[in-house]
Amino acid sequence: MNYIKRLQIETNNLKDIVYRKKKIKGKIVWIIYSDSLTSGSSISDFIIKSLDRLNKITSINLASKIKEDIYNFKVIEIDNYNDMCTYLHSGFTIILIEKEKKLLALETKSSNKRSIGIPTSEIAIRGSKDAFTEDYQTNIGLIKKRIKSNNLWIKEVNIGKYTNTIINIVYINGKADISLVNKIYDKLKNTNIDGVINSGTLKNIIGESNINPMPTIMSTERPDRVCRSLLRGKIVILVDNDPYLLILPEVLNDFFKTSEDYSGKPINTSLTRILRYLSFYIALFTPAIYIALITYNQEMLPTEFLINFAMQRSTVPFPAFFEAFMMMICFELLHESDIRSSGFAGSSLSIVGALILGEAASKAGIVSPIMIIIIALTAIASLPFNEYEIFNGLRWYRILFMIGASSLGIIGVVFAFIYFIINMISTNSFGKPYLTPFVPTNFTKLKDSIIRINPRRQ
Amino acid sequence: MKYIKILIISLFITLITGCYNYRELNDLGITTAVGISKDGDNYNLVIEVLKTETSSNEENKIETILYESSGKTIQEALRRAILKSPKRLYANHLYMILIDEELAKDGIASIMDLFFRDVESRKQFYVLISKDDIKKVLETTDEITAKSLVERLKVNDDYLSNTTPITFSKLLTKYANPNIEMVIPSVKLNDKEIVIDDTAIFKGDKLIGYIDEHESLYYSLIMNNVSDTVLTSLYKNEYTTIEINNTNTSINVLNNTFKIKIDLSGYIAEINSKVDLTNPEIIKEIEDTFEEDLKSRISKFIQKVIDKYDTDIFGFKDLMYKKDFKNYKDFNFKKLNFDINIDILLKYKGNGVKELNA
Repeated sequence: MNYIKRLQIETNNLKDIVYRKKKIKGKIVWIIYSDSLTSGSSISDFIIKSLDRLNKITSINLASKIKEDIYNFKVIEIDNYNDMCTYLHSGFTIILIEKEKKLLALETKSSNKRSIGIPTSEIAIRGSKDAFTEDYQTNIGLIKKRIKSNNLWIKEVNIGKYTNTIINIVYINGKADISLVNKIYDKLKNTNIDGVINSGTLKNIIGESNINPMPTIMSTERPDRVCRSLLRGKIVILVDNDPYLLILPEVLNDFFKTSEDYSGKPINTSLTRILRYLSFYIALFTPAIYIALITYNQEMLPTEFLINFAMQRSTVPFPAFFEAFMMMICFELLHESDIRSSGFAGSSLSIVGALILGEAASKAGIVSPIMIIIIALTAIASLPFNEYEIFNGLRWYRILFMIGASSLGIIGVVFAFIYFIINMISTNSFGKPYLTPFVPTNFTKLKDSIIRINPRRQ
Repeated sequence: MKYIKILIISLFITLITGCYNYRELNDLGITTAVGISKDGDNYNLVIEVLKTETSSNEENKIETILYESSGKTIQEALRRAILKSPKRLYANHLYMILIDEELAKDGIASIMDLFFRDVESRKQFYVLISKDDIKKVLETTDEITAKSLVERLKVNDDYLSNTTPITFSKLLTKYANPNIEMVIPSVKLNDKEIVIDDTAIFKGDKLIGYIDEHESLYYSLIMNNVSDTVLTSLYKNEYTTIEINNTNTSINVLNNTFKIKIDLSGYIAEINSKVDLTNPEIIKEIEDTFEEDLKSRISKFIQKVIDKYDTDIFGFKDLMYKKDFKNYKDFNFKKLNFDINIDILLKYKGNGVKELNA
């Protein structure tokens, strides 16, 4: 039949695709499957054996007989060439009967997937220990295990010209904003893209373009976080072959919450949240304010500090701004190399890092000890966030603040802060204002923002 | 494209940081004290500047350098001092200015004016009168003389109050007010050691005399500036000391008479006569003794200021202006009527109920 010839030509006689010919009641039946995606034993056990049994029965309509009789649990009838290719590349076995219009796709996927592991990038001391895997069905299973409701709705869309990736939009009917779901669905459906390899690619497709580097979409590998977001009416996007799911729309305050926040007493959680907000501002301001005080507004320092700083800086030949920038770059380099190099280089990195950002550097007279402390404080303060994009966004604004400080002193910092605030307020996260519980003020939501108030007392 | 332009512009801004008010900390000569004296027509300045260059063998030891210069005006002398310093002199963190006694006797109007109009200094520095040669005073220690002196003044103010440390900004308000006169503490050298000495009192911008440490305390009491102090008096022919930790003074004007009411509370610190402290009568007796004694001493002090110096350092005229304006024009400091009322409350006797040697 011409389907087989066409497939052979289009795949350039790919060895991976197996064509097996069988004769049943004088009719030629083709069994086509992709060797690498299917499990050989299930093909021989269920398909070949049942086909052999059919030899004894007489029937006019072979295709419907096979469909009734076959042992396989998932049988799909298809009638065109494109669907056949899709199923073939998804690990189905195709049964093609010559001179009959019908094709059958039988699921024979091999289990080339990872088992459920523990979360590695979002660690919670108290909280569930399962993490999403690359297989989207496993991931949906992890969500459904937690939300047992008919209202957990999923919209499926396939995108990618070559990858043909399955993308699921998961939401709770009645809680999520349906118009936003449809908007995202339409956007994804109308996307013309070669392929979607990870969920990050989707951020650029569905995200609204603005100049704020802060994220509006959260990516997570924790099922408990996804389910909590779903219950809050958020929309989750699930991409096959990526263990990171996307949650949207997210506002700035959401990035300060961790899944562990809800397993502790609200009063303790509040303190941790305050600490996180504090660290956000420390990470933003510390180098900038130091530069401003050291190079412009020395009169704002207490005299003891000034004398101390002056003595520490007396051997440093560089301007304070240059010094700060140099050390910032050193830290970023160290951070980047630490992430990229796996394990084996870690210990040598930390030793060398301690030399650059440590006493040796200050002894050499390149940086002042206080600058190392400033950079270290900034580095510590910019890391306690689950979402990596916050770290990157903070970095942008920190540079902006430093430029402001080095050109106009404290006034420059104020200008940069005005820009920062304007940017944050005018940012839209899928129709939601980015600083939402604070500006515009929403008192019920403020109860779970910087401080958390016991839900029973609400 | 727009953002690329903004990015390029902001990068350029970082390169041209030579603009508005930029000064690197390394280039600043942090001035901690300025001493001003006058020799004939010339102003002589002694400027104490921090030596912030550290050598590796002696860490964290701060030394100072003294620069001397002179000129027809103070500003001219300051400019000449800059020639001697490799760094720009930076007066924002000035601890104090020292004014020579002789110069103060001639009048300090020009100094007040100069530092008042100076945009750079913080006006939170202290002002002191030096009875000895300023250079010798500033040379006595290797450390920051100004810092240690100012800290001593502050500690004294907190625990003893027998000096009247004053910052330039506060001095300025007194100087600008014609109804109140200035009072500035003085320092002198005592065998290569700086000591805080008597307090100088002014009339107008001229130094006219000194009051001693006890009188300074009475002055502070009247001005309601005391937080903690000790009072010593004779009780049954033995010296007794009480510690005061709460004071409140109010002055009212009634029929041209100033009613000075001083409320003190504290406890008995040291008693040498053998008495029974558990007896409330005895406590009352001690209180009365101290009240009588303090009252007579304070009246004597006020009378002395009136008769000897005729300078209204207490600001009675200012009070008249505020509270009894009708009689303000007729106010005559020489004929001041005042009435002192002292109330001492001894709350505690310390830990022991009876003293050990009873």
